[in-house]
Amino acid sequence: MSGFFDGERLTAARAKVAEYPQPRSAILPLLHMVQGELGYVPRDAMREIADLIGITPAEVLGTGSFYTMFKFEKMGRHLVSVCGGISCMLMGSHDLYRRMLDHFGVGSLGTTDDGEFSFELVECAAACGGAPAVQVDYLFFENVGADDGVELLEDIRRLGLDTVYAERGSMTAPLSPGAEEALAAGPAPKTAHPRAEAEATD
Amino acid sequence: MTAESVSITIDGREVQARAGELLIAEAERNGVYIPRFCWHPRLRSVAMCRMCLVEIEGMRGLQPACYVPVKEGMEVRTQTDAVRKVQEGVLEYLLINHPLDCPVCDRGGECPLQDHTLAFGPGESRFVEDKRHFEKPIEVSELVLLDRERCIQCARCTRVAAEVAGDALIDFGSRGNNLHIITFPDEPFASYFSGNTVQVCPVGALTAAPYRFRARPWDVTAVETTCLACSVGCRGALYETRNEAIRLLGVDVDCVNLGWLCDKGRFGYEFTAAEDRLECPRMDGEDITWGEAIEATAIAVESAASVAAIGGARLTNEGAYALSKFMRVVAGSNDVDCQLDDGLPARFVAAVQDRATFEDIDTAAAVVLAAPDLKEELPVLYLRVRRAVLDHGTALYVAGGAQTGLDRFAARIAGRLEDLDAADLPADGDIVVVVGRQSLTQDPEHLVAWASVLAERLGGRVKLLPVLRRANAHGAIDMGLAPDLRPGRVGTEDPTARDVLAATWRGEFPTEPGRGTREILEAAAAGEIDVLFLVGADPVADFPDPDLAREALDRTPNVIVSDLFETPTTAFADVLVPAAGWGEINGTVTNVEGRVQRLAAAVVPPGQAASDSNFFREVAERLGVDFGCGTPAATLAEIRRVVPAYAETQPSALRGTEGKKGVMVGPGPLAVEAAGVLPAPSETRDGALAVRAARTLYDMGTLVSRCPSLAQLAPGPVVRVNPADAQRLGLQDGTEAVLRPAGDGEAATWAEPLRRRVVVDAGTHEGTVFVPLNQGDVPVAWPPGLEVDVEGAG
Repeated sequence: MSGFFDGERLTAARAKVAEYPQPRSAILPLLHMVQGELGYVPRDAMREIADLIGITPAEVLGTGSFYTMFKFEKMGRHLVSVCGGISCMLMGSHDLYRRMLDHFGVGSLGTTDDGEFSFELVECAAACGGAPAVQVDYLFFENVGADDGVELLEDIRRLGLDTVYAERGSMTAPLSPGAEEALAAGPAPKTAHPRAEAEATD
Repeated sequence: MTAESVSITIDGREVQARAGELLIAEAERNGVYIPRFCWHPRLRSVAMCRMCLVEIEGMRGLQPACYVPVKEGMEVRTQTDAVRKVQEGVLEYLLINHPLDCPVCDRGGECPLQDHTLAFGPGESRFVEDKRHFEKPIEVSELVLLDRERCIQCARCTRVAAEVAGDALIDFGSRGNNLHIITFPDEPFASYFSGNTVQVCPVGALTAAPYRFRARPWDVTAVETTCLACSVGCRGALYETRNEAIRLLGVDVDCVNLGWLCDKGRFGYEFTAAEDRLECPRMDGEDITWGEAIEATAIAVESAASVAAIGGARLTNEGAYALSKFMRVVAGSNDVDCQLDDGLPARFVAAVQDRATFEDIDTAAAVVLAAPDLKEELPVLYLRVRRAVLDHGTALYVAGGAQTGLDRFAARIAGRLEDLDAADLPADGDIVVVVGRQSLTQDPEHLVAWASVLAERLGGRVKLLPVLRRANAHGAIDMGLAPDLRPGRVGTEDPTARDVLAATWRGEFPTEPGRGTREILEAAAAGEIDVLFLVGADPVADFPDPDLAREALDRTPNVIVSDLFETPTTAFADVLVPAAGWGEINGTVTNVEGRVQRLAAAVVPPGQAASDSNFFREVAERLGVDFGCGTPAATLAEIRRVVPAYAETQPSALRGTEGKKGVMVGPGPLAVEAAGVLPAPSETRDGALAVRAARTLYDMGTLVSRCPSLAQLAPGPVVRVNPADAQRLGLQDGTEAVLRPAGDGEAATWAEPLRRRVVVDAGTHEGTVFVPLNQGDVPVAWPPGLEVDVEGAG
């Protein structure tokens, strides 16, 4: 019976658990491992995490579900996150979201039949200046009018996300180069904050 | 252990408090109630609900009283404007989403949120928007229902599940406005202690399926009583409405159950309302009057040369005493035995001088479990041992081959008893050794020999706790329902005790030890018993040799059975009388520690059912014996006279706040004698598996099968096999296995092989199989030392 954690993943997971004085501190890193590869965390993987840490699957789900960006259902190839924050809402994002759902015939948090898109309405995506904002796989598209959303997604389906993002994506950078490696490597050793140093020298 | 006393000031009044204890608890001890939702005296503080905020001089801002330990000179104000404003704010916030469906909510009328709103709330809400709505109710288990919109997120239930029971099968999911209690999908809250979450829930978010919508708090009456689902003796409040028992709540007593109940105890009242209760005496299958039943029994006893009695562990002390007295004085026989051969030698139980109490477990350096799986058989004792290990650092040793719910906490697991010796245990501190039968196939003489040797080697540091599973087995033994004992843990041969008894009992009674269950049944099968009383006993289903039981009952001319229900045994009854049981009679019971507690009647027994004491008294009086024992109180008074160890059991000592602790019974004159050399353990035959045949919490026993909520939870006819053995034998999870006695010795006496569904279970020790008893299939014999060959079916 092979699950998600076998071979190298199992070794890595055990090493991760061993890093912490309290094994349950490894819940989030292990959830990241799974979601990083599969795009979501399946039930069986949560059971495996529970076994690795020595807790119950309910505790894994309880902790993981605190974070809305962990997904526990299989997602479409692209995750479409429409901002429902106050600026975007005032600029018509609810309407935008509704039209997308109607066009693709899915409900909120649903996935299209062809598995292309999953939809969610999120809290403030921190792009008020470009409201209404939409993220596709966390890449920003700004000033997306209520009439533009469907076209945007149809283009992505036809031309690919990279092409469309290069053309229409917002300036808000995704992750800076090297950031992914840095995240995977875990927290950096603690150094004094530059401002603290500056204040100390004043 | 006593904490230092300090002076603190609460609302201008100087009071004494215990240093280091929580302010909220110390204030309450001094008569100041600080409102709270999340804090519970038996759970760790989390300070989540913010209802207990108070002002403390010198500390900035308001402080949660549930999180602040008291210190000398602390000045606390609980009634200031700032405090009131916070209390009103917390309640207004909670009521933003909490529905006002109190009129249809189980908690309405006894709801902490309702009460707090009245006492501390603002009276009005400024919130006019829609409240949250959820699909309702969610079945988090077969016994517990969740109405999420009522939840006020206090985390009491999740803490009970994780901290107390160790079953973290419920947790908070999501966050903020969406925060709600979840279970993992496909993994229900299947905890033996799930009902406790309902009891601690400060609102009606968690309700018990058997109680939901059954009654309103103002339509019920409650009596304080003792649970009899096992021999732990948890204190409980039994609720009744319209002469129907509808709820048992745990009563918090430090020394017994800490307020907790297991689900079998909590919902075990259901049998009292079962439709197939026996309501009328019967003879040869025909309804008769009580007068006829008494007459027939009296005539049978009068002309009998040999009378025996099996059972009595389900009776009150008063009932057991009446049976004991009846057998000795009226029937002239010591052939009495209450344990049905799944317990310990009664003489050993009676001889343990310095018996451990539950509180000894709290302070022991080590606990040795040479006992059945406490989680299955004595669940609330399991909670206490678990707490001792986790919170007090008690070292735990498990010995004898039983896989237990506590194995994961064990410092050492010894497969065989012989593998654990005094030298393996901590060199300092008190040691509690829990001794009980782990399997019907375990030789009890060997077990007590080992325990007595260990006790001798450890000397004064050791306290033994002999545990018998059956409800009031310990009380029954104290009342002399054993072939070699009289009331008071006294041997039948003891001349002094005989003189004490003779003053009250009058008449002659035998001094030679009588026969135990097996010998009685063997004699009966040989046609040597004229009258056999079976009192709440079902040997056909509940004795480890059912063929012998059937043969015995078949050959005995007068089988007189007293029971609550028809059982496989009642088919053999010549006279069958309907008994009144738990919840229907008053009296006392004695738990494993030797703690005498009150049992109270809440409902009237059905039909003509009556107490066993009544039956035996009536038969005795019909035979011209001035029997006494007219009421439970009169019987207890007689017990106090006859049994020195019970001298303190005055009614006044068993009532009121002090009475919650019950009365501890003193030791008798017998003493445990070390057996000297242990018999050598036998080797397992090649390929054969040792059998552990024992109870699980839920089974198809006489009472549990009449509790619809519980009967559905029985594991059914399964056999648990270690993964390594399963692989070796080619057994797959869920397939059928065939079990046959190994070898050709005396053991190999099953008419048919046993067929059971395989459960592959890493908790089962390699080289053994675990067979839960009483799962609705045909019972077979479980002789000591039995080993089986196991193979897949087909």
